[in-house]
Amino acid sequence: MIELLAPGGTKEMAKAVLINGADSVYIGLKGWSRRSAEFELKDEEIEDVVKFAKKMGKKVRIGVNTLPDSREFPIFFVKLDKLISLGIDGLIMTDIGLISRVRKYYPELSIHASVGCNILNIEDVGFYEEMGVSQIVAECKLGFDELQMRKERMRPGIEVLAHGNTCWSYLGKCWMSSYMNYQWHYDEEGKNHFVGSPNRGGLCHRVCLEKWRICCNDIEIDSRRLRNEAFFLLENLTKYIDLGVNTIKIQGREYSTELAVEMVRFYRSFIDSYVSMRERFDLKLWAERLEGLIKWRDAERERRTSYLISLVKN
Amino acid sequence: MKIEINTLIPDLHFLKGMDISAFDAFYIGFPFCRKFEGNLSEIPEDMEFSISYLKDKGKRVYLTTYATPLTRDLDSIIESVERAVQYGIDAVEVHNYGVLRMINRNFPSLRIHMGSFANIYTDATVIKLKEYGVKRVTPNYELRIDEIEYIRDKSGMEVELLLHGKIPIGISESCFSLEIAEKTGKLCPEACKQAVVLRRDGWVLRNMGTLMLSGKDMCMIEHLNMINKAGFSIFRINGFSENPAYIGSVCRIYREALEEMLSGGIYKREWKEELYKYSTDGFCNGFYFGKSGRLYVDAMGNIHE
Repeated sequence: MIELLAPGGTKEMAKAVLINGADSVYIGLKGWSRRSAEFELKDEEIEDVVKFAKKMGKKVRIGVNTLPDSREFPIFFVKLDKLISLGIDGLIMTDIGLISRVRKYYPELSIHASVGCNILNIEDVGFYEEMGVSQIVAECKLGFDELQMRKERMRPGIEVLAHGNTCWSYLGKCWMSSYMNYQWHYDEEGKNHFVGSPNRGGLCHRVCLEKWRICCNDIEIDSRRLRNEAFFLLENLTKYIDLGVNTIKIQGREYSTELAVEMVRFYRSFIDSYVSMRERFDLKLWAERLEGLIKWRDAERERRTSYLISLVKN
Repeated sequence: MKIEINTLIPDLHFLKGMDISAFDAFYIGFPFCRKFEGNLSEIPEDMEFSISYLKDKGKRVYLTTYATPLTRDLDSIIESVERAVQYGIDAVEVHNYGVLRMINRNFPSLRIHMGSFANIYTDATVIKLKEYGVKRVTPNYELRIDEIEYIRDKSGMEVELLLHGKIPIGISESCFSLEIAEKTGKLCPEACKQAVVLRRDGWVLRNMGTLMLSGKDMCMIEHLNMINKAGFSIFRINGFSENPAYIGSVCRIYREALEEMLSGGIYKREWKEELYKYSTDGFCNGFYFGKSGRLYVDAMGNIHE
């Protein structure tokens, strides 16, 4: 059965998405995921969400998908021991070294490779499988053929982002934000939040979405933002469901709980309806329903983008 | 201590336009776009010529490979490595873990250098990579210098540092030069040979098609004492986005400075003044001091925008 994975940017959001139809929720461990601290959860909040999810028979995955400082490993493993004793269902990770250590100490723990790994080809998939990864979040820019080939030839499961917005650069391969603003900032537990670095768990200032003056051979020729497109749109999602992807993930830890809940409700009923009546499925009706949600989402995203850029503007 | 200073040569035009004498080693090819005109890792005869030319001059030569390969690119990457091995390459540079796995399987004794786009951030990563034949790493440019030292010391791995030149800070599957082709009138392969710069207030980025680079040149000339004390000995100078005529001079300044300071000499201001002549948008230090990549920290610790 295809899994619907939803964001838990706050304790409230995590519980609300589970109540409203998500099979599982992903939560960022404070300081250790690809979002700023306000959308990550403290240990005791995670404990609360895990207990809640367990009662409902649902799953909690913890995002540890940053590229840390080597010297931070001991802090992490103290935390991981605690998380494991709570009964978390797995980790979403990026750093090869951290993945290999977790695999060594906890051979049974499920590890999914984050979209930040930027896994582009089937040899890449093979490499991460050798690291002990059981599921891979698909880079948004890959086409259907690549995922079909992975489904046929490779073992790790496939996760896709519903309506995933992606940047000009490959995800995990961009340092434009930290080039503009990067600060080492430690929390009370000694974790560096690497403010300004999306790959290291600080926020991304989204400077690529600022309007740039484009000069060619010293002459100004244009003014524009870098491309930012959405993938895995509704009309393609049915194809991916048919292909047998394991998980559909909704992004949005930074959105309001209300919006996250509405997206979960929408994709829950979309998936259930499609799976139960593929032949008689009318995509058009669903696309119309989604339109309002996407507008709402884009408005929240736009506000967040303006705020993030304002933090670094000269 | 024996030092190595290397650089990337994307095509024959660049090779012919530069003075190679001060360099010890060269990466050949353009890892950021396979369609880059004259790409030495893509054109067999140019690859063969450049390897034999450089080796005749007593230089070490490393083949670089495409940084963001899709499955359809893999076969031709392995063919190009096979060719380079026949021509006597000393090592291959890899930015992608799939390519690493494939090369190590096919050429188990070939020296592999992991490049900056492999996102190497931790000592545990480097230790794991030893199992795949990796003999040198370039930690991600976002690391602070003490993180790099720690990784080197804990893993015992050879570590390469960028000393000077523009820092790669983004790579895409889509070509920005082609996006603006209607404004420039240039299509592939000429499009990315234009000097495209993105500006906003004081910020500047340099674009080369699928690659985004820092607008400013990283310059570590004021900090060579620190670099020497930390015991680093393998250095890269980037100049592939610039006029090839400059890069030999840049290397000569660094070689002189490194050698003088290693033997107890003192810093000379004219080194930096000379380097400044070759820069269009000023200097930065990247991330070596744990600060925004575009800033410049001088030897006294003062920060300059």
